[in-house]
Amino acid sequence: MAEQKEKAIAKTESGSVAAAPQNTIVPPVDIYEDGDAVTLFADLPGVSKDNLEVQIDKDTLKITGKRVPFDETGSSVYVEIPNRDYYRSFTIGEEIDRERITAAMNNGVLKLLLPKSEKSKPKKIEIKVS
Amino acid sequence: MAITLWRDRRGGPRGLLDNLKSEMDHWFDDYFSRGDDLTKSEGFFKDSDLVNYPAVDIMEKDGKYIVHAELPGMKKDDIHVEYKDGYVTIKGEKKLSTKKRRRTFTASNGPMAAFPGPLSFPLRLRKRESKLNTKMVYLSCHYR
Repeated sequence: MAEQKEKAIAKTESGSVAAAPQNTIVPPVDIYEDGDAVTLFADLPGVSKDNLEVQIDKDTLKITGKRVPFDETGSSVYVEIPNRDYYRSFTIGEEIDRERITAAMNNGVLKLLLPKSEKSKPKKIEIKVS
Repeated sequence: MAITLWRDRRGGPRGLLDNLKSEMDHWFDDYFSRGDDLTKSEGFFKDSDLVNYPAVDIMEKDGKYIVHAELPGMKKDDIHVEYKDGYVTIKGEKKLSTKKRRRTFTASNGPMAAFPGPLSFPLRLRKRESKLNTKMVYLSCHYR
């Protein structure tokens, strides 16, 4: 079961082809899984739909978000919010149906729905009475 | 400084622990969250009922303070701002879906969607030396 979970979606090694670009921050994510799909929520405050990019490249899912600076100009009193773009990548397994992946952005949270292919879903075998 | 952040130290080490948890989670997540095994990555500390402090920027312009707070996943109705006893307090509470799903992985000091119940956070800003004009306290939500 644990193996199956890791196959469905896994983070990508930083040293791999999907290594994070410099000067980016890793957005926190929650990932849920059930029999039908894997659902990923990523906190991307400050990123608009137009500045968000979700890419699937073979088995790599890449999330890139460009943060839009605040409009106001003034003297900074206190600064906590990093002025850096977001980047995070994951490795997705064969059981994810690439054609049916959907993305939605709402209130600064990206929701990615990664449906599992029909053939990867567990099947109940009917038992016949002889 | 005329305006300072308020941190919860009334509960003794609890408030300090909250801040430390948030900082450490963020730090560890940035540096060590790129391994393969999602099941082992739940932040440096386990999720709990600890309070989250949102990141804020404070600017001063034309005699006004402008506070930007990062509150991903929150709607305007979830956020409350009040002024009392020299403190501006921003509170947020998010009611979460109770849909039963197996959580595969959380890397968090912020993703409130992971928590099983309502979560609130207080953020207080104290203006020293002079009384804060309550008319200056307003809230505008921008979803970009």
